[in-house]
Amino acid sequence: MTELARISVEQHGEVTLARLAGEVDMSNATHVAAQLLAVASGGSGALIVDLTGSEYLDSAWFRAIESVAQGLARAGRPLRLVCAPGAPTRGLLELAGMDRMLPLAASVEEALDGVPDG
Amino acid sequence: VASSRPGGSGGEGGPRDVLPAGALPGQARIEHPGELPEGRYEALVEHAPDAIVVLDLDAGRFVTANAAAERLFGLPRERLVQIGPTEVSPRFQPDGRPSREAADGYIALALQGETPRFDWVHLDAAGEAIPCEINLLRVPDPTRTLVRGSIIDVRDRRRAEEVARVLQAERDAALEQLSSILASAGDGIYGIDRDDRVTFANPAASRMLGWSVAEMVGGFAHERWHHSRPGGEPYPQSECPICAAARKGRSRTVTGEVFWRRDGGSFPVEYTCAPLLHGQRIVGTVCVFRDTSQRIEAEIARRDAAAQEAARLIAERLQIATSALSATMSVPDVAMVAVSQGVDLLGARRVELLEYHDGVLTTVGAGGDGPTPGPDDPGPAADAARSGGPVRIRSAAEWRERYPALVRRLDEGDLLPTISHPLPLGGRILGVMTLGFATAQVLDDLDLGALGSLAQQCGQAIERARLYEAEQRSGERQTFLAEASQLFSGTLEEQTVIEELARLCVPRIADWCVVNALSPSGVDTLAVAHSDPALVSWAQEASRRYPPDPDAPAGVAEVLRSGRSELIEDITDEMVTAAARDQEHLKLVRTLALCSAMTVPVSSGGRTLAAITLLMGESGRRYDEGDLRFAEDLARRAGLALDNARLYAEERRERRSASFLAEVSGALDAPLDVAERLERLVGLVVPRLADLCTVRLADPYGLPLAAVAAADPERERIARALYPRFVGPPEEAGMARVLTTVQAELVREVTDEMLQAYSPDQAFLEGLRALGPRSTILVPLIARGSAIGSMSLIAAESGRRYDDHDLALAEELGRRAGLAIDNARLLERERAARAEAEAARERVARLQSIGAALGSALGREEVARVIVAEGIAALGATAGAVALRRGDECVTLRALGYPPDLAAALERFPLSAPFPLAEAIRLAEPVWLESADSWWARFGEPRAPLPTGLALPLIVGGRAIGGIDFRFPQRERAFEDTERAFMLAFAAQCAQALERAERYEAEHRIALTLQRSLLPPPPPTIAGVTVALRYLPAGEGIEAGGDWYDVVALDDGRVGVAVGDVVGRGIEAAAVMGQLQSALRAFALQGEPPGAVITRLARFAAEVQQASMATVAYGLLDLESGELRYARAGHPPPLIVRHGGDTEYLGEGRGPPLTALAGADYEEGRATLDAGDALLLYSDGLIERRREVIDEGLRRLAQAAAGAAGAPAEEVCDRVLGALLGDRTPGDDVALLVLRRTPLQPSIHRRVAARPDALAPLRGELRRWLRAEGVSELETQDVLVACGEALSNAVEHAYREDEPGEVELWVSRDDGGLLVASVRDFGRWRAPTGRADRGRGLPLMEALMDAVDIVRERAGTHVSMRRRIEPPA
Repeated sequence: MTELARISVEQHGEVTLARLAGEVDMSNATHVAAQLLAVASGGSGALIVDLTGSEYLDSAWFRAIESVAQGLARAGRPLRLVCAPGAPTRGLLELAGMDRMLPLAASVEEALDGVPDG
Repeated sequence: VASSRPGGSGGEGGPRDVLPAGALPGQARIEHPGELPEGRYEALVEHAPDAIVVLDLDAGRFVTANAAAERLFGLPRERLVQIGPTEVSPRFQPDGRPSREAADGYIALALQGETPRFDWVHLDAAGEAIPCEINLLRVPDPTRTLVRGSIIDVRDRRRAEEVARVLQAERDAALEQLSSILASAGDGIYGIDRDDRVTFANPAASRMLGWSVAEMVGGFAHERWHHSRPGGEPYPQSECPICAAARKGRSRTVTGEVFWRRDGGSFPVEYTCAPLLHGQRIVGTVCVFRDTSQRIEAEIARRDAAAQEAARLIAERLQIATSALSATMSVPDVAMVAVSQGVDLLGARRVELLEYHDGVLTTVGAGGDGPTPGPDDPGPAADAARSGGPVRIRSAAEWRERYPALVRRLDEGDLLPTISHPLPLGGRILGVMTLGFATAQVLDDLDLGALGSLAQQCGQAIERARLYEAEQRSGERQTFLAEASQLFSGTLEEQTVIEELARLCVPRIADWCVVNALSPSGVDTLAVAHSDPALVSWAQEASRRYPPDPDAPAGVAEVLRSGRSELIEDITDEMVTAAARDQEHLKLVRTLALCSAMTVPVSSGGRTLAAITLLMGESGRRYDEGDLRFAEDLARRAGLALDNARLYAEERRERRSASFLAEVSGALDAPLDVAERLERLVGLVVPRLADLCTVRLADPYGLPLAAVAAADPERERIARALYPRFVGPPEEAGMARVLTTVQAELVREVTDEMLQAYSPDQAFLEGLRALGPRSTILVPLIARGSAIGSMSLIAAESGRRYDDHDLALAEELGRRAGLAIDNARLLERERAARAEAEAARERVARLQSIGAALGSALGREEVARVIVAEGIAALGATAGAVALRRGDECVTLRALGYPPDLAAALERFPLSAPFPLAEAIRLAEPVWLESADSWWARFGEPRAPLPTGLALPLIVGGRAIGGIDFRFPQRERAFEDTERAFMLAFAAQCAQALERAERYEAEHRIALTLQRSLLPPPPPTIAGVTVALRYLPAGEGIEAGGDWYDVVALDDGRVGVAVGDVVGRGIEAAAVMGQLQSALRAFALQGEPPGAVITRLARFAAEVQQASMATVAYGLLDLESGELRYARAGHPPPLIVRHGGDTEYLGEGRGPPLTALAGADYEEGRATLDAGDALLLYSDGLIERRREVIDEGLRRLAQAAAGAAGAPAEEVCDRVLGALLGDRTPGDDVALLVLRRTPLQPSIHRRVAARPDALAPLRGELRRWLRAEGVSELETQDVLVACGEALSNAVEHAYREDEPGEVELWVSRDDGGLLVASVRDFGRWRAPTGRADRGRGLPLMEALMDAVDIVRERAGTHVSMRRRIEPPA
């Protein structure tokens, strides 16, 4: 089975940047959450998830990212989301009120500026 | 402002003020250059110091020879002009070449444009050879081949060289004399060079020392015979007085030492050593010695003879002094020898030699210890020079007594016993020698005698040195003048002559050389020279800051004015202080330490062209009368050269002017209009003649700017903005005055005051200053004896200054330009006349068509369009308008060609408005405006953009219902009687046509309103079909037709559609239409099949219709089956367009039109309309075209409809109408009805296993489908997520894990853009397992879609969602 979602990781000092591409639905949301938590364990600072490359997200994804946020919060680490204006899923994130739950930046640079140890 | 033009107003060389044109009315000097004076060149040649001949090569003889040539050859001019160079040259030149051959070579070079210079030997009349130097220069001449030769007699120079040779020979003779002295002397004498090598020795020395003379020369004297002291201890060379003599430059006499012979023995010697001079250089030492061994033995015996001995000693020393002095060639050399001899010979502690010249004492040289009294007066030297006898001061007390002033300068210890002895020669005193002695010793008679002798010798030496210097200087001057003449004769550039002149003078005859000339602004510095280039630029800067005062009573300005030389032999500090402008200037001049100056005029033909100032500074030299005469000689030559250069420059300029004028004429003669010619003119003038050029052309209202060009785009921009602002009465403005006086004006130097006087306000002044005019010329443009405009040439950034030549050229330019403009205008007038005749012919032809055009134009708008278009074309007008009266107002129906503001004013205007159209309507009379003046007089508007024209009332029944207006841009536009008659006839036609159109339109409006009110409203939405309707009335002016359509939805799922056409127009047709439509609707609603409906309608029509005929088509569609039944009464066949693109006319169901005669039964036709298919009903206006068979229209319709296959009904309508009618207004009414069966199938319908991993592929399919449907990316995303949520719910909650089921997705989109998505499962709903998780799905769906319905049943759950999709942009 081809991977529906792909995650690539960059480390910016203590901050971990994960770029999510592809689709997240009920079939892979739990797996994506686990992957993100695993990726975050590589650093000790904030986790930034860039959704600019994502093509489909639904409520399953919202559930998953909430669990990731809670997991990181327990370790005292913030979670930031990035989604460029005009990206396919940006409208959905706004519609679902995701931007009110988690900081939603327009670019990776903006997100890095907003977290400590960037 | 001085006229700088050579040969100008002769004696009037002084400054002349030229005021700016426009600054002071009536005072501007208007200058016209005269012709070049005849024989000018000859005059120049005549007075040249060098012999000048001009050789005509074609004739082989001289054509001109000057006075100097007469003198040189010793032949009268009448003779010289009969012969050529051969007759005054020997057959061969000194180098052996035949003279003729050599001369031809040089002449050939000159003809190639070179200026060969060569040595030549001429023969004078007596046959004596004259060594010459010749310069050849080609003389430009249109008809002859001329070469000018300037011949310099170099005999003077040769003579100077001869003197130098003689002096050299004298020096050689002196040396010979010296050697004879050496040979005969009893004492040993030898000389050593500075390396202590023996350079010469006499036989006595050889005899005493034991070496032969030959052996001695080249050996080291000290090593050989002076190596040890009398006791045998070594004598270091460093202590040897002989060796030291050359180093210290001092003479000494030594006793008590020994010289060693070759055989090893020694003998006591007494010797005197003195430095040996060559020129000013010490080249070695002379030593005179004597064996004193006998003297010691006989000392006592000889003591009596001591005095005699001393005298002999002095005589010997004098001998040395004599020989040393004889070798001196300059006064400083003399001083050097005198000082050393004074110390040696007379034992003085210090010696000073002063030169006495023209009553002035100058210290030439001094030596010894301590300061010398110098030339101070009173002082011993001055007294000695004056008295001619020695002055002795024996003690310090005597010093104080006799020269108290001088003593103050000296220290007590310096007040030595002193004697000042004059240096006499033949009764003249040439100098003074002052000697100071260490002790108060009294010089005995012998000493005094020796001093006298030395003084006499010094006097002689000074005289000789002076002579030598004078000779040398004279020789140098000759050479110098010859060089100067050469330079000048080879130069034809004025500035080069001046620069060469200045360069030549430094440093040979001056430390500084400055060349000045009078200029309009004062005194200009043309050149500055100094041997240090850095100082030159510094001096140039200084002369800019401190230019010579043009009003000073003396100095450069005075020399320039008077032409008389000035000499200041000694510049005193008082002079410097008096001349200084301020402290800084004073400081500046003082640093130059100028000590002597002379200023000579550079003149030619009695006029002073420039002044050369020669200054002595750091070298301390002083000028005398001789120098002044020399400088004057130089200046004369320079003057001729300068005049020559100017003559040449003028000649060149004349040629350039001529070619420029030729070019201008050529450019202006092209067949161009005025504007083009002017553009060419200013384009040629800038930048060659001006930096900025403007041309104004007169018209009755002023002098508007016609053309501008500037070398600098920024200046051009300024000028374009500035000059149109030019206002002011003609008597004060230069431009305008030029027009009235027809006289050119020249302003050589524009000052800021002129700009201020010229400017009407500050802004204008700032503009003028930005243009930066330096010099201007204004010339009238003259045609047929009067000025038609003016041209200004302005010199700005180039810094050029206009002179009379430029003025003359500009005047000529003005004449030619005036002529060219006049020609262009004539040409334009001729063209205009031809065009007018052509237009008249066209008008006549047009007249015939106007009636027809107006007759066929029905609507008011169309009539107005025709009126304006035809009127403009017929009259050749620029603008035209037609207006209708509405009470006290007028409304313009159409206006074309007016400027925007005028067009706006015309739109709606009161009858009282002050323009022709209003007046024509108000007065019901034509208004003819044939000139801008009459316009001005009538409407008070001086600058109307379209100042001529006509306005005519449109009269119907004696009443003006409106008016027409036509305008022209010309300032003059006559209306001939024929034209007036034509226009009045035209206006009458227009009035009728408009009246008719008004009537038609009123009726048309009523019919249209009626018809529109009868047409049904847009049909209700009927499930399963979409209907689109179009009704297009024919264009205005055409009666409303009787086309109609209707849509009837029956209760039983059937829908009826009808299109009808009542033949006939206007209100009656509309009324019939209304009745037929109502009847058909009534029959249709009863559910009758089409055949029956039409049959009943026909019967009805037979009853109601009076005269008209009507056609109709009616179709009834069963929405379920798609069956279509139809019938027609004389109507064109309906068209089916299949979803796939096939088309099919429904040709069955034919029947006759509905008429009063009808009574037949109508048959039905049948067809099937499938989902996606469209049915088209239409009236014949859609397909009929004039002069075309109806089949062609049907074919076009089918083709257009096929292109819209599968499209929504509205789109089919638009595309069909677009293809068949385009933008044109139909000639007949058009009704079109399109009924399309909505496609019923879901666009995507999938049933998949209810598993999470099935969702992604399903989404992929849905995404592709939505994209293919043209749904936007954002909407696609919304639909995907909404469906995704519904599907996720089904997968998660519908089935138990052990009983997997299926889930179904069904998404469709209808014509109207409504998207319906349906998700079904077939399991039993299970309550959500967690509260938080699924809580988000439903709100998302509701947020993303317009409506969400969820139905939960036993058989499963059905989610139905709708979303309106925006049509693609």
